[in-house]
Amino acid sequence: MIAPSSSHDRAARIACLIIPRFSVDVCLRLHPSLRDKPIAVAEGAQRREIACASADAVGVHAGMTPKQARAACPNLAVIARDFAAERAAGEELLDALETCSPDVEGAAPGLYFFDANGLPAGEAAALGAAVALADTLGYAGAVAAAADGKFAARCAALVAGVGISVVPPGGNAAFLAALPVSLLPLAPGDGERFDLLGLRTLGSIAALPTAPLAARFGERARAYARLARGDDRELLRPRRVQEPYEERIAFDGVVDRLEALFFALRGCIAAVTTRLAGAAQVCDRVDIVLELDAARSSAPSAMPAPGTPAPDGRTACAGDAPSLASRSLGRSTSSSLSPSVAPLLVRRPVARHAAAPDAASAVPKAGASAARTVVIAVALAEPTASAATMFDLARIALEARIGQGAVTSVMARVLPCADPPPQLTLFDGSSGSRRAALAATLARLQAALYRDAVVTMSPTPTRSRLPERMQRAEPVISPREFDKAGSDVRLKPAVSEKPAAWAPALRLVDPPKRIEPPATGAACAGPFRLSECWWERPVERDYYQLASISDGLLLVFHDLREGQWYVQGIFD
Amino acid sequence: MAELFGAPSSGKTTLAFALLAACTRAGEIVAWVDASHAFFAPAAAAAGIDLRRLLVVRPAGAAAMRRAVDALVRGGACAMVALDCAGLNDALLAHHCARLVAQAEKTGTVLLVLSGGDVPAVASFASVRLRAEGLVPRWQAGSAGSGRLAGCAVSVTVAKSRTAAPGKRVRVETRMPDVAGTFLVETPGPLQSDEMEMDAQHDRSFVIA
Repeated sequence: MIAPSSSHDRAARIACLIIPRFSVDVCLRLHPSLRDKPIAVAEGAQRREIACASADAVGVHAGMTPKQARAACPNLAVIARDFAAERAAGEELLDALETCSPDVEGAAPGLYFFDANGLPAGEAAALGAAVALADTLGYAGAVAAAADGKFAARCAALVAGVGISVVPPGGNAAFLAALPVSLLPLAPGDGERFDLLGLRTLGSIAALPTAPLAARFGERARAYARLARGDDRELLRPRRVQEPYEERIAFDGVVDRLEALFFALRGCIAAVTTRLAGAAQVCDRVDIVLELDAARSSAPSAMPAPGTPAPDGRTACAGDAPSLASRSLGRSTSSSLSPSVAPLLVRRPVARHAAAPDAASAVPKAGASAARTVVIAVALAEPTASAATMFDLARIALEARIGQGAVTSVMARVLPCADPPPQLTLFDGSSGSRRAALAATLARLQAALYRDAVVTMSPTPTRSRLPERMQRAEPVISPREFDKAGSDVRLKPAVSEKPAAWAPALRLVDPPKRIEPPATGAACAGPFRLSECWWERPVERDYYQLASISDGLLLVFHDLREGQWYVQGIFD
Repeated sequence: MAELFGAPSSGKTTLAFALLAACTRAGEIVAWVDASHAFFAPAAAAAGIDLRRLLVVRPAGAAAMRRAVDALVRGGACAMVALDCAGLNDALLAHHCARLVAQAEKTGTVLLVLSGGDVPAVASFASVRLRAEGLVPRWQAGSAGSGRLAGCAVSVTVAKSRTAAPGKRVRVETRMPDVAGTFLVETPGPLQSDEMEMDAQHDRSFVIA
């Protein structure tokens, strides 16, 4: 017996658009010359796995290696998957779908949902328009369907195969009953277990009592049963285009004193954080946009771009005090401009002085050398709306990066982030303060150093046995990275283990330093041969632990291909 | 502030790794400021450091290194900050050290400086100075000079202490994690008494420091 859908009277009609070969279509848009050839898109490390193939690539399917794919289809062209291009294409498609419905969601590349409630021309017309839009943008074979909920809509689109399909309101359960179990988002192994039990359709799962099913398969089985009955509780997550908050102060003259710049910056940050807090929002990054007077800046490299190592020099203190020549009010109305130019294009300052420069005119034009814009991104580690935190970190970042530059205007720009504002945590005890200290430390490091200077390291002996390739660095931006790594900063281990023995530490010399061959009879251990990467960069080395009177205990190797000796590390 | 100094290949990094391992075993977060970009994660893992609790900061230049240490000490999130400034003799001057020591005392952070012993400001401000002397190779019995390296011996001398008399000396035995010295396998099991003369004093070195 099929249980009736429990959600039809509060039915959320959702439409789904599926583009079956989205990755291939994006590649074809980038490389139009390949349109007449069978192509496959490969992903993974060094393009080792086929992700998607065009319709004329006969015999090629996902999961093959490029060699297998070429063996099946000799004329096949294998192209690396371009995630950035796919993201851009997805945004373009979502922009187009907004003509069908105001609320659109990009769930995955090639999978899009939009709200189908109360559409003036009806669901079928909206679905037809969506398919036509996809076809116009170059995505062939798009299929669309509408149903009560995301899961049913997606199933309907997958089953339809071509054109459009509409599941009537309240008809989810009846529609899903005959569909295969494999459409469910199954955990690994669950499909085989359902098959062994003879449960091959969604209707057979919907007919079972939930409690025994959960007892056998775990709590996830309750979700399976709900979806099989057509009771999909997942809401549409509409794409929201966040608009940045900006505050800009332009000076009458130029400012080359840090103190004066900080004075103006403090005002800018206070204004944007007031607006953030007023909207109950937080941000995890603040951009400091400085406009430099190129004529008075000593050198083009004096103010490096964000992400570059900081120079050692500091600004010479001489110049004008700032005055509020202009202050812009209100929130930016442009949302689709690139971050580097958006604030300068959309701001028209409220003139309090006649000499205030027009913001639009400050955009560097081709061939013009009057002004130069520098954007310094300050990561905040944890989302916040605190003006004091933002200003402290912005000050550290400016102190670390400022060179001999004459600043004509300063702007603070924040983009509200998706994370909700931090809530009060009850029963947290003193553990929260430790996490806050870590967040503050990471934020200070991010502000003071260049990007990726703060990392966690991990050995990767399975990747390579060569010392220079045996470790991997993962950038740490937020304490959340520590949480992901399984190191909860709030908890201490109950039992501390004692080490079995000390191991001598090795200081890596990367790249290896060339040395003269060791003298005959030198105290050493070895050789230990390492040969690997014969398929790309062959390496054959004989390693020795060499006790050198002058340099100590070294890890050296003899490169058998070059015939040279190198120091790889120093035991210290 | 404590200073661990010695010539290259004297065993100071081994001692620093042991200290960091003790901290991470206690559930603390520690940091390694790697100005020379010589940090080798497999060796640190073999020394017992929980790498998930270790922040590695790789500054570019002396000024960035000072800023990094200042941020780490001021933040107070790390129980120990190891600053590897070997080769950067003029990286820390007296006024830098004064500020760092004040911040470290305020936040309860241990600042461990690894140097070649030629940084006068650090020597002056350090509460404890430990001199590491000579990483003496221990060849496996029967293969002296041509076979297998079983481990090393490190001597540590207290060169300066504000709370005790200097001059105490501790000898620590270490064991290679694998015969190739490339840290391919996990931390070895306990040493056998007949395999190597294990110095039982090595745990007491922390007490002396």
